[in-house]
Amino acid sequence: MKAKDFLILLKKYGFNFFTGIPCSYLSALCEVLNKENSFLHIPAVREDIAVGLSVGAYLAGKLPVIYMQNSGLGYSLEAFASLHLIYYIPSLVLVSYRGPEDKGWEEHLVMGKHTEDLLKAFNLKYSIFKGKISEKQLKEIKDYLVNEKLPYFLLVTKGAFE
Amino acid sequence: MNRFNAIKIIIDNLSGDELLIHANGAISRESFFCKNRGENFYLLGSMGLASSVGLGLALNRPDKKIIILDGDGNILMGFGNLALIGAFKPKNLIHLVFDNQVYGTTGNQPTISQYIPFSKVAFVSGYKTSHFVDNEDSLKKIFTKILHEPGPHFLHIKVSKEIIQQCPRIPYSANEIKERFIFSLK
Repeated sequence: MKAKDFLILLKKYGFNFFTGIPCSYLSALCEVLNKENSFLHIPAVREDIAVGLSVGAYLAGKLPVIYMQNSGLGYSLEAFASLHLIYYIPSLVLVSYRGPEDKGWEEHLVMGKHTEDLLKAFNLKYSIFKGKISEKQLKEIKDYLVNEKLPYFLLVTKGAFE
Repeated sequence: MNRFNAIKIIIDNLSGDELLIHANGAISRESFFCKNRGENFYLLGSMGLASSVGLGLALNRPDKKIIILDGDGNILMGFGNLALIGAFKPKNLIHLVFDNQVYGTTGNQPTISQYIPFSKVAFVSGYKTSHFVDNEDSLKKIFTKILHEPGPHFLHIKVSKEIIQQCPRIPYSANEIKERFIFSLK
């Protein structure tokens, strides 16, 4: 899916604050985010700081999107556990799913193997994004965020964004 | 200067509807004891992230004055956020650090804050002003001045580790803290 089309869809459904840390799987998305000026985009300096920024944005009335590599999910789980999951903060979280299809990268093997286990252990709702998402699916995610006031995770596979 | 008295000076000298973001632990409890305000957001945990929440709020609500009440252990944990505040320079942000040189709620284990000139770090990171104070008169004088000037401002407040007022835990759930805070913004 073209990153630009994905962003247009997110905007249509009311997402209006973006923060995170790049990943090569997310580079096409970061490129369009950096050119975009119809909403606030804050490139963070660490993934847990992005989680904190999203809370401030939500308190200010925004609907946040956080992006990161799954390596950053490790840094972020405590932040989600002590912020989003107890204060009830909705956010869409795009996590690049390094590991399973990256056999040559040893540093991603352990986190890649356990990424879904970690999300399940924290009862975090997620689905895998391979480059296609329908408006109906995005509307369901938006409804989940608005009704449950919890984060929703999309695990972004290699080549999902172009 | 004692931290409880320092926090009381801040609370007593607010103009009205400033939004306060509190680091976890004694800072939240002492501020709550001084005054129960809906415009106060308390982090129950998330050590190190009060300044991130404050920055996210400040950038999205430029019409409001945001004050972060941070501690030395907290700021050291989220040190990268000083750079982020310095880079984005929200004019409506004041960052206060109450430095007692210890992790107070876990038994007064020393932090490394005695070796770190926080106000110099903040200034080179890009804060508009940065001050150090170690007495009540200077705190009141500088706080009331920067409160009415465009920031971001940094204020390093040296305090003792002595507890002069036992303060109860925040009596609200995290969700109640959030709902009260959002309601106060309407």
